[in-house]
Amino acid sequence: MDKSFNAFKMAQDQFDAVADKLNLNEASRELLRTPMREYHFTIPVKMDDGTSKVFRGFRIQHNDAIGPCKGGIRFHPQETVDTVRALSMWMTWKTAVVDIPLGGSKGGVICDPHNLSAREQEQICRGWIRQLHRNVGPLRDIPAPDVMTNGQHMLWMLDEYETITGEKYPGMITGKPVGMGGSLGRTEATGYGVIFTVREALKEMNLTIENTTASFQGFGNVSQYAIKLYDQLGGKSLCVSCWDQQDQTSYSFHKKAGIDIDELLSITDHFGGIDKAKAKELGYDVLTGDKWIEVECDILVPAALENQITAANVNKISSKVKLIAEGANGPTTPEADEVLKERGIFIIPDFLCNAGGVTCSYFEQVQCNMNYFWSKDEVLGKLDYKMTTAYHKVSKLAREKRLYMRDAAYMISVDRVIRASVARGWI
Amino acid sequence: MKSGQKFERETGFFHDGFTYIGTGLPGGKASGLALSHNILKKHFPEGDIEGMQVNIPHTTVLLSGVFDTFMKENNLYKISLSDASDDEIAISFINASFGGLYSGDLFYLIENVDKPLAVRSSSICEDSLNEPFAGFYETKMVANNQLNSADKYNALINAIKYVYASLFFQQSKKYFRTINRDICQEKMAVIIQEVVGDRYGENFFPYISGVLKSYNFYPSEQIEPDAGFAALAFGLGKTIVDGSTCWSYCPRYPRTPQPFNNMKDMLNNTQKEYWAVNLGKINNYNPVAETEYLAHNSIFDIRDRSLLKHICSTYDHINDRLIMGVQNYGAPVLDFAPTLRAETLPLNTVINQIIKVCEDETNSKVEIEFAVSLGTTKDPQPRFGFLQLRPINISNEIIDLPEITDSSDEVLLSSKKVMGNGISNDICDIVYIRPENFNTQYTNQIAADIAEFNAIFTANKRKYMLIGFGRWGTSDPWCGIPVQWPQISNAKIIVETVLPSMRADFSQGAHFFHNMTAHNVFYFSVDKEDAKNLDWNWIQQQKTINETKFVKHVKLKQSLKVLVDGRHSNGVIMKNEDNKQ
Repeated sequence: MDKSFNAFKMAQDQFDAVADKLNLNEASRELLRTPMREYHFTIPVKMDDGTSKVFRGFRIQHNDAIGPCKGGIRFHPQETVDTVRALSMWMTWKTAVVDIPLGGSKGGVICDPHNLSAREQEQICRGWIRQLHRNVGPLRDIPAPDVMTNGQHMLWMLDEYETITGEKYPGMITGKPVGMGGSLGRTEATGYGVIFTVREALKEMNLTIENTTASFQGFGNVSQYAIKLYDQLGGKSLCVSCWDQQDQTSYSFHKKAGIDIDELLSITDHFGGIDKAKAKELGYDVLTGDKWIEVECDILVPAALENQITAANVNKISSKVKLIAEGANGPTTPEADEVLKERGIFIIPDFLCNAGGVTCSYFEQVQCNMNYFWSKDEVLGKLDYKMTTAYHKVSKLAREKRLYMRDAAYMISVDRVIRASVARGWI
Repeated sequence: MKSGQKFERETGFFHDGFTYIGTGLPGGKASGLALSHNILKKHFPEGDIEGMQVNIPHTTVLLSGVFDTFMKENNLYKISLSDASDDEIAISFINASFGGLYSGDLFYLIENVDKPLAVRSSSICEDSLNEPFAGFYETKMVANNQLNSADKYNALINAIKYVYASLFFQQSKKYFRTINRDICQEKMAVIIQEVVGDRYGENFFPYISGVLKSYNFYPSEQIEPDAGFAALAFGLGKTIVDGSTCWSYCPRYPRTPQPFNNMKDMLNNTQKEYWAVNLGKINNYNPVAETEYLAHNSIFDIRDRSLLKHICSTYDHINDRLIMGVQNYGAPVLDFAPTLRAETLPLNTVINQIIKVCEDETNSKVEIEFAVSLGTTKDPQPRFGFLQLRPINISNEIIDLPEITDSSDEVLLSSKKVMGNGISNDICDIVYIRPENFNTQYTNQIAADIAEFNAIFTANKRKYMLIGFGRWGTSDPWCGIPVQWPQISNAKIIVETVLPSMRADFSQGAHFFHNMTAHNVFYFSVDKEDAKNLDWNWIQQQKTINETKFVKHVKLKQSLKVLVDGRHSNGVIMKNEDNKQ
């Protein structure tokens, strides 16, 4: 990752541009370009070898004008507070653009779960809650899994929270396993949401999905389900890249006849890394990790990390590409964005495109608060409805005001948050 | 054939014609609807006949590819092909998911519709001319009046899954074994269709439901078979499909009195109960029941009798006569006289025009299902909703019957009410209900016994002659034998007769008869006037192979000779000389 890249600065630049377009006053700008609250703390943990180690944790609550904050918790060795700040701001825009009654937040711990035992990870989770239990909860801020955290981490956190409060609050956290307060459809939600927006975009572009091809970056949860649904809709996925834990680098797997998601999943480890030798046997070309962006196809889906389409590689994008669906958060830098704009490539911006996850998290919270759980079809039906409605709202504004899709999405989100803040008398 | 247009979320359900979701085939019933739509557009572009609006109801079809994906994604074939009960299979289907592909379209569909919906099967094999699957799979109505979209949506998708599951219910699996076909080759499309009708208090139903056949297998005297036949019922068409009491008449002669012996006979054999979609409180949540959202009501409980003004006469018990229309006194009798005789609704004119154009366009005899609504006070125009079009297979082979006299010793029976056409020389087994033990209170047991015998014939791949009393395939066990088609599927000759103690119309269940027609079953109706009565003594002298208290199987030395003249509905079954004991 480019060390000079500052995600928070990028998020603020994007906001400033929209603030100019919306002609926001100073107070509004000041309120929204910085988080409302930040919690920085330490988590001391007794390690398995008897030593003690202190981990640094954060929780950034960007804005809660529309409702309780919502955002994931990341465990990452290179975590920075600026990345978490940026992500918390994007969460505010994300919940606002799909019109769910939540604000935005994000949290993290600087650690590498690959080098930690389950017990040590549990201690980090419980320590995180001990530090924050007064500041999170179903009516304040609802955490969820994010990079390198999962349902088990959420359950440990929930358990610690309920132990401290002495009450049962299944809606305190989302992303829990099904049967333990989790929602059916949550696993598929982000990836499916990406493709729901792709499907609608292709309709508007008068492209038949059966005649399109796509290349995906990342082979985690988002990509896997996005590829699956895209293939079911008749599209052809040509390439996918993934991180190889052993080699500590990424590779792209390309097949001209189209990749077979079930085939690849059968040779994938639990980190999402595809077995290179077996892939070759199955007829895949194994290329370097950055090749996914150069594939001659109609659709690019960056669904891994932020800062992946940059000024350095944006010109490698094939002239055939017509649509970029940002499955990851912040995958495109502002400089690259300008180039894409000039080239007329249609963008489905990240906080709209990947909002399926948070939407389903919201559904999970609603179900937990009711203590009544929906069928998978109900979850996916409502998810599709919500995502499609949000997409068309943004697309309509973009068409009517001749705006870039990202700007249109920002304008809808910022406007909603501003209205809520004004209604509350904050500004 | 795939007709119609791809479902669009904003307006998809209310498209002219029908829309479809998914990929694959639309199935027999949906293809029939597409054909109907094209015929109506061609011949009645204004959508109106004699002031009656004529169209197919708003419809969306889930194509067979949706079923394929659903089965595959949820690994449902294992339980579907197991010996699990129908309920277990239905519950497994209801617990399965449509996934990301179709849930959204269905959610959008239900968001925009607030009328009751019928979810109907449209399988690839169903309703085709050569493969009779009519009536095997379930249809489910949903009230669609829940307060929030999620509840409406859940009811709809549960109904779709229930219809899917019905492909693998016991009777369907048994039938596939019978005809030696692999059930896994069957694909199921599903029709989601608005229920034609109006709201009456907490009930929603069509004013009249009907089945038309342009060829009558049981014509009365002096009425030719191709004059056709219509069955009408008040309320949902389930009354007719189930073979319950309804009103039958010939569209070419709508004023011809029906052959009731007397007034009491008529009062006993006209419709008294009707089916409606229940818009009130649902007492039993039961997604694996066809009738979950239905109500079965008595016409005598209708408070505002003027509702029946187009379809009833009133019984004047003092003078023991009927007076056309609704009167302030006396019981209502659903004889449809105001519509058929006084033409208060132009229904029969519409029926005759529809039959003509459908016969011309399909170049065959046809069967049509329809529903009529009267409209609301705001929009009172009556509507003829075209629900289904199906060609009828009529054999063209010309059969000449021998001269028969009552004293002919070689004749086992002859009848002038025979369905089918052709000759058979290969039946040497007879299964019959023992007249000495027959009692209408045991008809369910008799049906079960017959199913056991039928299973043996199925396993041995042999056909047989079946003789019984009252209606075959009735849903009312007091009117005859309540068998379903798979329970008698290997019968080549079916004889329907009466005991002196019984009075029942002969069978008219639409799906039951479609199956018999398609299988070229010879169906003999035997009553005193039109037939040489069965030679019971001769049958009872034959060698017994198997028997229960109610049913006996006898074996003949030589096969029977069966001749049926379909043009004149005459038929005869000849004993073979070698069968004499």
